[in-house]
Amino acid sequence: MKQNDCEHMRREMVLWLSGESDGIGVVQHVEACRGCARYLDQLQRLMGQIDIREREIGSSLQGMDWEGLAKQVTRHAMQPQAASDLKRRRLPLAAALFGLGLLTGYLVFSHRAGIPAGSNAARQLSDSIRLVETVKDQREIIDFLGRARLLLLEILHAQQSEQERDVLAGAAAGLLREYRYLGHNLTQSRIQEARGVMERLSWVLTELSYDPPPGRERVAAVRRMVERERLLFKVRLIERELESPVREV
Amino acid sequence: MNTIPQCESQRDELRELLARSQKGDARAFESLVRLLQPMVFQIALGFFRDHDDAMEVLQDTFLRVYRNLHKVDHAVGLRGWVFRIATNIAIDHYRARRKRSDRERKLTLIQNGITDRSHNPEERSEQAERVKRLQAAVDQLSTRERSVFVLKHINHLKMKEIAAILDISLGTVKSTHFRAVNHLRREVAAGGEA
Repeated sequence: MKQNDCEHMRREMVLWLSGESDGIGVVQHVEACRGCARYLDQLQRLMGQIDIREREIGSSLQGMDWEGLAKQVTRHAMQPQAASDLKRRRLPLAAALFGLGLLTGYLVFSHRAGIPAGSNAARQLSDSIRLVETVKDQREIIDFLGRARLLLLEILHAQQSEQERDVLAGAAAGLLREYRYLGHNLTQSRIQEARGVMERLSWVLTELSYDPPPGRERVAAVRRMVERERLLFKVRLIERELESPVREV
Repeated sequence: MNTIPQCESQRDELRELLARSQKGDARAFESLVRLLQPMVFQIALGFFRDHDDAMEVLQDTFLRVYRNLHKVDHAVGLRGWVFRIATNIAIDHYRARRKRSDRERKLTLIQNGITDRSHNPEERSEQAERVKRLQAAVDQLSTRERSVFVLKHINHLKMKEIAAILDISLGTVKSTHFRAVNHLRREVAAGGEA
């Protein structure tokens, strides 16, 4: 059997099993060539596994709420977000720097000129300070959410050894302390819009961090909740939302 | 613009929805999304196992579709155009995610001292293990091989259609597909014998 024949036939087999060719000559060739028979066998097994994966995807598509999803996707696409992602990340920082510049300038100027409180300039200054505070809060919440997302990932992938559960509990306790501190500033930020998600996140942190340390069942219950509520995805959405420019002060 | 075969009634419906969407009709755009989102989601799930990642691809795809609606002048190639956007976005996300997950995993390992669990086959069922092996092999494909593989075996497109979507020749699709399948065959067979 010529090497070229086998190479040609193997390409033909791939096309045939992918529904792109009628496989003329394949059967005859395989009957006479052991190497290619083995190759075909391996290909058929591979196609079987691809079918399983494809069925997995198909069955997960069946349970989807397409109506709700279409509404959500449409809302997302049509919301007025002209700024690119890069701009969105830069704008809060630029606003903070601008505010800081104004603050410094005003302090120097008022020190020299003695501007009374309650004037327009003083109000503008107070607006700028609030803007700086809001942007700062926003950055802190984004950092917090980033770390919370890592913890959620760990919860979803944990294999449930005792050591892992202890690590999860320690990380959750640390985040819970931060969360309480963040709560003080939440009213000033757009995180209000996502209060429900934050409450669920707080539930996860509390469940994992209270004494005694979490057992297998408690971690499994938390994982189920994280999966059911699609918490990882929602936390990512809040992060994205917060990365967009501040709309109001 | 590329063309993906559609039946006449579907084409008429798409044409009407497209025209109304271009005039800013939100309901028409929503209907367009409803018609096209399953195939976009299927592409995304071919790239990512995780629904959240697929959801991001879905949202970003229609965001880009909406912003570029004015560039489409007829509905004939609409489906192919959306396919192409979805594939490109899935590739971008896939690259970004690969970098991010490497970074996050390293960071988590350093912070928490958790041992890497990727080599712990005891608790997995045989079938899940096989599919996982296949997925690992798919992860090793180049982005072009992966795109061709997903469009062929998950979306069941013809090679001609894939060539149109990826803007490459039919010959390139065939050779890329052969390379991809051959690689997967080798990896899966090696895993089965191990």
